[in-house]
Amino acid sequence: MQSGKSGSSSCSCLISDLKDPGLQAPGFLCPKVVLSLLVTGYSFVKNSTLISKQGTSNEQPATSNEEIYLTLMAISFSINRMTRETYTILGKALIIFLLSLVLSLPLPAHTSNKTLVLLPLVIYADKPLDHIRQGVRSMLVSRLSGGGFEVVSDAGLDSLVGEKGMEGITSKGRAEELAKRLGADYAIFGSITAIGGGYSLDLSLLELHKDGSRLTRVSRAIDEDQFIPKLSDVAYELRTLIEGKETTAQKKEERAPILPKPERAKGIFSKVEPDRQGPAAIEKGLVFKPTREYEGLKPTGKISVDMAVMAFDTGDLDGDGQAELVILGRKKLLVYSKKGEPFALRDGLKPSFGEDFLKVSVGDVDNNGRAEIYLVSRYGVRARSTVLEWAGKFTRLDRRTGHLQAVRDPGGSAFVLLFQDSRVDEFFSGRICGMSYDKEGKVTKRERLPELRGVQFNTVALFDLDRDGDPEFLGLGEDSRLHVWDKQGNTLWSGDKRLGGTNNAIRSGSANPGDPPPRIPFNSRLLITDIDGDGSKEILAIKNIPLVEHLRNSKVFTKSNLIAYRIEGTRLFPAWTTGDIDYCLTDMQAEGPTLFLAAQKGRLSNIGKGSGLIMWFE
Amino acid sequence: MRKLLIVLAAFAFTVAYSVPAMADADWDWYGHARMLTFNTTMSKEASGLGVEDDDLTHVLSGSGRVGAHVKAGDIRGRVEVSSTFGLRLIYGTWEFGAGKLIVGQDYTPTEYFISNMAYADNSMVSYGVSYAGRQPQVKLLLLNEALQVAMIQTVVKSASGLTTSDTDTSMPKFEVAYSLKLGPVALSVFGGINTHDDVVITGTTEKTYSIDSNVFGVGFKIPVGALYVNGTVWATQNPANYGQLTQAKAGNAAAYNTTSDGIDDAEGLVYAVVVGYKISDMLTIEAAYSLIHNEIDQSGVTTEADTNFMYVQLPIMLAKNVWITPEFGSADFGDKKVGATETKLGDMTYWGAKWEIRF
Repeated sequence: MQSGKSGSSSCSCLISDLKDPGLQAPGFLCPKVVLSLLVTGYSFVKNSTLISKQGTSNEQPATSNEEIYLTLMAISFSINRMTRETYTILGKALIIFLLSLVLSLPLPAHTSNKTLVLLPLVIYADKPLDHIRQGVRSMLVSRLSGGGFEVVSDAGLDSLVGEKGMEGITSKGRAEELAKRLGADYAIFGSITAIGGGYSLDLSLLELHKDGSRLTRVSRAIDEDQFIPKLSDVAYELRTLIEGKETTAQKKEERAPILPKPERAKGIFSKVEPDRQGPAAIEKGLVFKPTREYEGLKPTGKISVDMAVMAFDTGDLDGDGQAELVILGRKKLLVYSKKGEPFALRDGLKPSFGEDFLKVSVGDVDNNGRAEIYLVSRYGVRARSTVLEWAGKFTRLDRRTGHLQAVRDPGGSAFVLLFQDSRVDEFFSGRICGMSYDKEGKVTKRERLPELRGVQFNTVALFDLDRDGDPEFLGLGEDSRLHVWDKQGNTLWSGDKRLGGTNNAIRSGSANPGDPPPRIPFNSRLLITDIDGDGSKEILAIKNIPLVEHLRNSKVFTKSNLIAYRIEGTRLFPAWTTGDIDYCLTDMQAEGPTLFLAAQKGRLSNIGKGSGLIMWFE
Repeated sequence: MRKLLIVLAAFAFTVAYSVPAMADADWDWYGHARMLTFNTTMSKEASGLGVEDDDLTHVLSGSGRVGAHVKAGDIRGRVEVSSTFGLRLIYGTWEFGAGKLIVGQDYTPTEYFISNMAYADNSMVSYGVSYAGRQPQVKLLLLNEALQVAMIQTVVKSASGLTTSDTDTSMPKFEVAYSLKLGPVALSVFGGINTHDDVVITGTTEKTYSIDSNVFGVGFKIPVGALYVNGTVWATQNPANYGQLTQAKAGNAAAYNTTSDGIDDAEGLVYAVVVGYKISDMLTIEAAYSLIHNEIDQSGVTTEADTNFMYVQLPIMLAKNVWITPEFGSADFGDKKVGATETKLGDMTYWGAKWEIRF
């Protein structure tokens, strides 16, 4: 092929140069090409170093960003100066890089599950208790399956153990033999003894190795009315044994030995029954039968306000021993106190020009006996937090760009102060940090929390679910599903169904031309409180229900449910729920035995201030 | 070829084996219905009629759209068609931990939008922003999406004045953008290059001309309370060959030079700034100014033209998802200079409104 000169300007390389036999030699690079590659390579290496430094540092020096910026400009410049050959080589290198990247990416774990066989349990009782045997089996299977565990199906077991074997296995040798034949890693066998109104559950966990086996016994005495929660504890203990974690059985035993029989919780909840049906089933009314308790939403008290409630919180602002109620709308913050019986409006605060209030939380983080108000607003395209004190009038303590939120530590009376930055086009930006007051009374950053993937800052809560001394993180994560993260940020559990959903949202950030900016919701906090009075805390979450489910821009939430999750280890199961509430719930808080809810009527119109309601249940 | 097939097969196997079950996909639908009502006055030079021309347009906007976002685990997707059911977007996204892989037709990294211009519903496309269309591509988003790298379908537009027998492409269009936030300022630097060969065959003789085009620029956004200032500056070579949509009052494409038997490159330089103020939830005021410079040097004769453009608008949100945007704007196309000769290109003014309901 003969080629001619293109006569292009300096930016376009001459084709004849590329066709030069000398240049076509394999692997040959002209000095200009080598220089460009070196500049580009050096820039990338320098850039990577800076990025890795940033990744390990708590502080992000502005100079690093600037250097990255300059480096990229250098890359752009060097690209601009490239010859056609360099461009071709780099392009091919890019293709190889992309393919290598894809091929070398870690695949999702397709590792084989640990297999467990649950052998028939022997029943010792003066009457047939097949329903107990089947029920226990069913409950253990449901609690032990998933998360890397696979329970051998009944079909595979029946044919192997025979009719006599189905009456129960108590021999270690027989259990080991059956487990080996089924190719299982673990076997559970044992007995249930019924005496009087209680049961003795005596189980053995057999762990099979190449060179033998190991037996661990787990026994519990269970009252009839505590059968299900105690069995859940046993299942959790077995699971932790298999996972090789420290068992928390001893700690669990420290719980109140006699628990009240939970049937009602704060008047508006009813049990999710049976078989742990999830919220979706409840919403459709397939399983959950409405009870008289929640058919009418009858609060103990309520306050109506002439604004759509964005958020609220309670706390002792003036140090008089009684909690005040702080209610927030887009253009107003109101303080109510309960000097007599009813709550009375004491004070109010309006935003400055161009400012919209978004969230409020209250907590005595500085431990001076008076709770501070942490007020978050939108100022321009970023969030701004103001720390206020109120004792008859407002005093400003601090103001900074970003989000501040006081979170109650459910294990005690202390508060945790969390912070997340806010930047242009990133209303919530970067990792969440813990904050504290220094000796001078200034709010300062402490350690960064682990990266909680997809977490919604306003929903973050801390609670030691597995009682191992380290709190886990809870919150709404990706796709607005309830998540439990460990202190490294690994997801320990996530729910199947979306929760939250709120009419309290703004649009902010960059968007494609003609597209609305991304919707940023401000969901309610999660509550960690004892809903049913059994001495154990539940996780309470709001699920708002849209008028139309699958329309992205017209999602108006008009109804809601509250769902309380029972904690079993680091897993959560829906235990209590309300029926449909004819409001969009925007926030909630518990103060002693009282549950406060903020509600608003969902509406499409943008004209007018809207209206809201704070109601409480005792 | 065999090696390529093996690599592609390995790639397909890897992706297929990594994709979670798609049974639980969520679809979120959306739509934008838009009407444009504008009165446009073109001067006698700009109208091409020799007299001033005044027209009212009251039309369905071509930027109206219907689409859906789809989520299924780590896989996401988006599809969008225009009000006339032309394909606007179709892409899938795979989030793999270190970043995101996007495959399909999407906006490209060198696009930097700063404006809500209502006239023609085009957000300052061809009047100040860098935009080369929604294009088929394979794109990687890395460093928390701050870094975008894309291989885009090559634009093949031959040099003007050249009768080509064939065109050859050897590489996709390559674009990269990096954005960073420094306190209250958001910055972005972007660049892209595109190349193809025009081939002229005369008898058994083949002659090849390389048509190279590029764009490089920066953009910024500075919000101060309710006030915001956005801007962009970008330079381009052979913007028409790159696929850039810009004013073309002087040459904006590579041109064949019969004297040198080579290619002359067109150059462009664009500045744009937008200032806005959010008066309330319902009301914002926005104004913009831009300067677009085109130039081409052929056989020692320079042809150049400058377009000055401005608008002011007052978007009003009547209700959630209901907008009316009144706007007034003007474009001065200046003079076209060819060597020492100047020809007046005239101007355009318009006023009217865009109506929009999103659902």
